[in-house]
Amino acid sequence: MSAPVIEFKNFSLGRDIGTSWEPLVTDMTLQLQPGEILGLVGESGSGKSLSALSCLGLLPAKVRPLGGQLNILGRDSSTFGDEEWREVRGAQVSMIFQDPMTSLDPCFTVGSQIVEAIRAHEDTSAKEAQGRALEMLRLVGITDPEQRFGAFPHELSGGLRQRAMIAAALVMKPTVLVADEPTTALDVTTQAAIIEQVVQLQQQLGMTVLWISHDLGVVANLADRVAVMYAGELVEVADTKRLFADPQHPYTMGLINSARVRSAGEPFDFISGSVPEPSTWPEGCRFAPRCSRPTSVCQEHPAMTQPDSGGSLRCFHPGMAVVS
Amino acid sequence: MSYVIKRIGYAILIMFLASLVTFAALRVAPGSAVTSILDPARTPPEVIERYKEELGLNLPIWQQYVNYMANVLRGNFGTSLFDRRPVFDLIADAALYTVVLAFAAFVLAFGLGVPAGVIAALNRGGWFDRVIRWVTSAFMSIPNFVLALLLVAILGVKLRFLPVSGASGPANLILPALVLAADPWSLTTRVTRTAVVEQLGADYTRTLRARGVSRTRINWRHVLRNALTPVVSLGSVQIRTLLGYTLIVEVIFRWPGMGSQLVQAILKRDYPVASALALLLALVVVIASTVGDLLLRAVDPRIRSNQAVIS
Amino acid sequence: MVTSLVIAPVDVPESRRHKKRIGGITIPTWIGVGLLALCALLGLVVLLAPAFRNLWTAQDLRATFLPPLSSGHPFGTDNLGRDLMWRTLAGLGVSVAVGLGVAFLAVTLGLMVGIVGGYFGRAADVTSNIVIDVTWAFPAILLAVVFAGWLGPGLLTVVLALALTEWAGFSRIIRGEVLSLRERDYVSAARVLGRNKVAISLRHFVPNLLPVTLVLAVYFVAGAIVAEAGLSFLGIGAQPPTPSLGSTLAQGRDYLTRTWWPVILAGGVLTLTVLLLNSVSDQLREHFDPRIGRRR
Repeated sequence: MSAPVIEFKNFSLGRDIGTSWEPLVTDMTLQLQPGEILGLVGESGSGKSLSALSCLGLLPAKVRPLGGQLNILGRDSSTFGDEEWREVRGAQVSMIFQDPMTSLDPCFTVGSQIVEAIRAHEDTSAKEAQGRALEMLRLVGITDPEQRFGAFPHELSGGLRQRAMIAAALVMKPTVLVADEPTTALDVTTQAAIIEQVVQLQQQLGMTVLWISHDLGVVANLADRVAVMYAGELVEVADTKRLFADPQHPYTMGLINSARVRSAGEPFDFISGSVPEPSTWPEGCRFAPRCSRPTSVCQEHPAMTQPDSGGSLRCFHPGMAVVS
Repeated sequence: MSYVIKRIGYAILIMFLASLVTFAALRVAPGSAVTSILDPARTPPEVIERYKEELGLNLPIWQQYVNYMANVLRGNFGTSLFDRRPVFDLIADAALYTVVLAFAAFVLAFGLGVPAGVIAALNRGGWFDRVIRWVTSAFMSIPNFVLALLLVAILGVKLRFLPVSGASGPANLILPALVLAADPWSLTTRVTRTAVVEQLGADYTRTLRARGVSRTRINWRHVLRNALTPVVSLGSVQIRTLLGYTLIVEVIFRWPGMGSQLVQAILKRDYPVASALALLLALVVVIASTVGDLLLRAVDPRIRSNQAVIS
Repeated sequence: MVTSLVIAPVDVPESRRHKKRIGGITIPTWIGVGLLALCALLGLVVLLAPAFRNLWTAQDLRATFLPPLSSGHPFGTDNLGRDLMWRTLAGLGVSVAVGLGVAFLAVTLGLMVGIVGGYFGRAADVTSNIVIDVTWAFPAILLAVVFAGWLGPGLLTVVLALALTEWAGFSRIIRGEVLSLRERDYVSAARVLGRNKVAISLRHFVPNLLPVTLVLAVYFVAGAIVAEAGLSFLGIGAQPPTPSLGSTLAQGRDYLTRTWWPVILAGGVLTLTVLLLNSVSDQLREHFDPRIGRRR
């Protein structure tokens, strides 16, 4: 196995709350292997987006890495200054976001925003940059790139906007693409088209993709491996097939159950309660309060283990079926 | 392009209606043009009749309006009822001084307000931002003529290092322009600051950063451009307010604009002067808001493609 | 084809956003509203009760230009030996009364035209837009000067001129609000139930428009007070013997070489009043919705 392109090692993030640091992501260990699509799944507030943003050094104000290590293409990211981060962004690690309407600058044409992404990294002539931008627009499945190049974001449909955003993100052929729920704001048919497009581009360009989603269905069709996050920590990482066939963590089971297609009359399965706020995380297993079968052991905080079945898991009672 | 034509057409419609208003006001004014000059009790009716004939007051009302407009378009606003001078002469010089002063204040307000707002927004919470917040609060509360009086008292009576009266040289413009600019400057600064702060937090700034675009470039190219819309809208609104207060500030600094002269003329119920003045100012305001709307379209592509970002 | 932003936003400083509140509104708002009511009462007294007139019109030519803290005259006296404390107070009362009058008229007119334009069909909208734009073309202060030519100088001229111009900007904002309100489900529901447009306007729009109206009304009061003082300063507003901060300023200016007190006192009271009203307006806005007045 070749060296991981992105590697979290016991990584943690926290927010400055004046007197102390409130942990948001803890003990995260995850490797992103070259060429794979890794799905990072969790409810909102689980810390998945923050983990993703830290791969580009784009953490919100007051949020900082607290410990552990984050290596990007083999380099320790804690040594990066502003300029190093800027060189990484777009060229080595790029990102696409959820809402293509607000994520494109409304005052500039789509084309000029792609050209700008090129010229942020290379001293190319405007003409050459434009040529490459057009080529990229074609590559992301836009049929009339010459017309779309001069269009303003609001003149395009949601799907076209998202394609344009992908073009701008990929025009520098980055090694890694971080996709933060890029299809959530789109309607279902457009969603499928965009997902297919990303998979195709991933193969064409040999990219590695970190796909963040709260939607297991999307991830199941797309990812090679899936990492499940809950309350700021990873609870289960496994190959997609294995994860769906034989989930080990009760939270994963709950997610899969609630996403499953039901037959008529069958009651909805859902996990009761909601993701706790960082300030109210339990001392022991963070999922215990919502778990259907907690035991006294769960008062302790479980560590990440590597079970024989492969992947990794954070649970004292692996594989125990959720009794409904 | 068709929008430009439509917008200008609309401006002409508004001006036409405004001229109807001023014309009607001229006719409705208590005491007709004749009776304010001639005392009806002592003048023989034939004389009054001849005067009416001469002034075209016996024609049908629509024809009177056509004549009025024809004259106005030729720059003939009639004669002052008091010194019999053409109203145009009475207004022209003074109007020029007033426009120079208002324009200087406008340039100061925007020239200093936009950068101040941007700097405050980029360093929000810092010392500059705090100072700006205090200064703008103060300037927005102190009426400009009070500020003018205080400056005259301090600079003119005690210190005497800047001229506070008359228009003998360019230095005379400094104080009145500064005083007039204080309030619009504060407003511009705040509007700019708010707009920039809002844009700094916009999603697209994060996207641009994710593509490796530098913070400086994002701030000065994207954020500023996006923050321009409310600032431009503010511009045409402020011209309207500024014009009014110019009048008062002129009186304090004895600036030979329309201020004192026209207040005097109007207090003597000089209707032709009043209506000409109203029409002239309406023209300035209508031009300002037309230019404002056109600029807005140039600045914001969403408005350009008629997508409602308004309301 | 209407300029998009009319009343410029007053930025709510971040530091103020998290202030402690009692009953939803910060205490100074009530103090401000209370003071305003007191001033309005004072204004009515000044304008309606000739019995008290002696307090601010009594002249004493042997005691002119007394400095503040003189015996019997805590604020001193003016060029005619009139008591400056009473003159300033009475002037403030008149200003506030004028301000409230302007705000009331402008708000009433603005609400009517705004609702009609926003809800009573395309023709009504076009017409009201044109009326608004024609009105908007005449700047308030200058219109007041022109009005003075027709009606003669005086407070009535000031109130009419300011109200008849300032409603237009307010009306535009109301129209925008109505355009979004009319899409609400409860409005469609009322429509389906067969209520007519006037009933819907009164029952559903007016209550929902109250926050914007209140915030902007306070803003109008402040603006009208400044404008009244300015016009009285020019000699177009309050006529003697009606006291006015503007006339006190004008007299003070003539004697600036002798004493600053009248200018400082009248100017100070004017400034503090505007400051108070601005902060009340800010707090109301913060309470209801910081985005009021910022239609984009």
